[in-house]
Amino acid sequence: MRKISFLVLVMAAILVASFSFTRRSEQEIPQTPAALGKMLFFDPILSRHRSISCSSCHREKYAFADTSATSIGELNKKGSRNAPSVMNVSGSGSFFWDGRASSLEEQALIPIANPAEMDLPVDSAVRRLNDDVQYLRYFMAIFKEKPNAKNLGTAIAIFEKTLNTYNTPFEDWQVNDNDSAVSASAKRGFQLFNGKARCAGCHFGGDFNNGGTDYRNIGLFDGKQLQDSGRAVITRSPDDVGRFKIPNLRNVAITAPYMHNGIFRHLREVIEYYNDPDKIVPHPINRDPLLSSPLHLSEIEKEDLENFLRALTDKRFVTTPE
Amino acid sequence: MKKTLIGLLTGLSFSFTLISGPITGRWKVYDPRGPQFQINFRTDNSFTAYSNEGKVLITGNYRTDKDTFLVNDLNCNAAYWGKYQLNIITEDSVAFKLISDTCSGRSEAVNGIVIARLKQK
Repeated sequence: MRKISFLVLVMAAILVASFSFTRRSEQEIPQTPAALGKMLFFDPILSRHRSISCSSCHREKYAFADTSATSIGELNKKGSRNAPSVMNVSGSGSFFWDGRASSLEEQALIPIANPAEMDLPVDSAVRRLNDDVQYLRYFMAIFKEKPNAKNLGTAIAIFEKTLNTYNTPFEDWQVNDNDSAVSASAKRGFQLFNGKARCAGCHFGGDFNNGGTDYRNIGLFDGKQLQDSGRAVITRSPDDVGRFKIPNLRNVAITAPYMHNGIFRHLREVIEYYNDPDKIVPHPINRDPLLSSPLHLSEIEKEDLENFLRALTDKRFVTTPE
Repeated sequence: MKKTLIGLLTGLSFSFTLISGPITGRWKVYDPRGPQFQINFRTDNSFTAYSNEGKVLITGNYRTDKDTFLVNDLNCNAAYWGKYQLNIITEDSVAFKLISDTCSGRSEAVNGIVIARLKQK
């Protein structure tokens, strides 16, 4: 009886081992820094309790943004800001809502170490990768050196730089002169975006974010209910109080909720806010003069604007049902 | 062999050729200082600049008056027109020379660039 039990135990161990081996060997072996970066991006190995990965808050289905107002980190710790999309970031000159990182490589490491996010000191993350036979092999093959903080940041950054999307109805209309690519409403919305609605005062350039290096105070800081002072956290300059990085608008229709604190759940709420900010935040501090007066948009104009913004959605997301 | 021939013919049909005519149409921008891109000057005086991969970079409006080119775009002040001189290099390649433009980003990008007309046969 004891012998049978022992045999069953051994067989079970063999089964578990073979299953585990199969799982690992089935994984595609990365051949490039981008492929390695992708693997790391989706791997919870970079969080303290191996419970979340970069992709937990930057969800592919939502253009690598989050659906929570503010992201949830390890052990359900709540962050203080909304996770922005990491798509179309290759042309950006600064990162995070307050611009605390000036390169994507630098950016990639910060959430790993942030106690409210993945909560794993970068040194520990590097040690884990060195202790993992497969990762050690991948890094040696691709970077010709063992995992370290620099090549870890580089791999993730290179992957993120591949996430560019410009297969949109807007591009089809503007680049291919395909007039039927967007609706008449969206075309009117584009005119409004550039004119009456004043959006293009900040949202211009290839990613509609002025190169990702400009910060504006849109009135979401009042020192009372809204206390995140944004860029000033980094610069300590009174002029920067309430300023946040101008966000990229590509795929904006699927990256709700919006703003640095995820205060608006729908695109229409964003438009309503800009239409008359005082109605929602009556006593902002240091708000940009561009928002000093209401836009007086009609209901149709609001719809037009929303339809234009929807035309910035890459077709890969339109064809993928939720 | 057949595939190679089709590929070659396709490539040739989209190759750049120099032709004469007004500035309307599609142009390839040659700028040794930066990445190459293309511009579509439309007959309604709007234009779209886009990357070779097809990503919209800038939209705006333009006007021409003999050899003077006026441009406004949203990257600068949409109500302000920058002014450039068009220097004909060959029948259908043109260089831009700054006359006046207070938008420094645009003047740095446009002054000195050469565009060549893109014709799809």
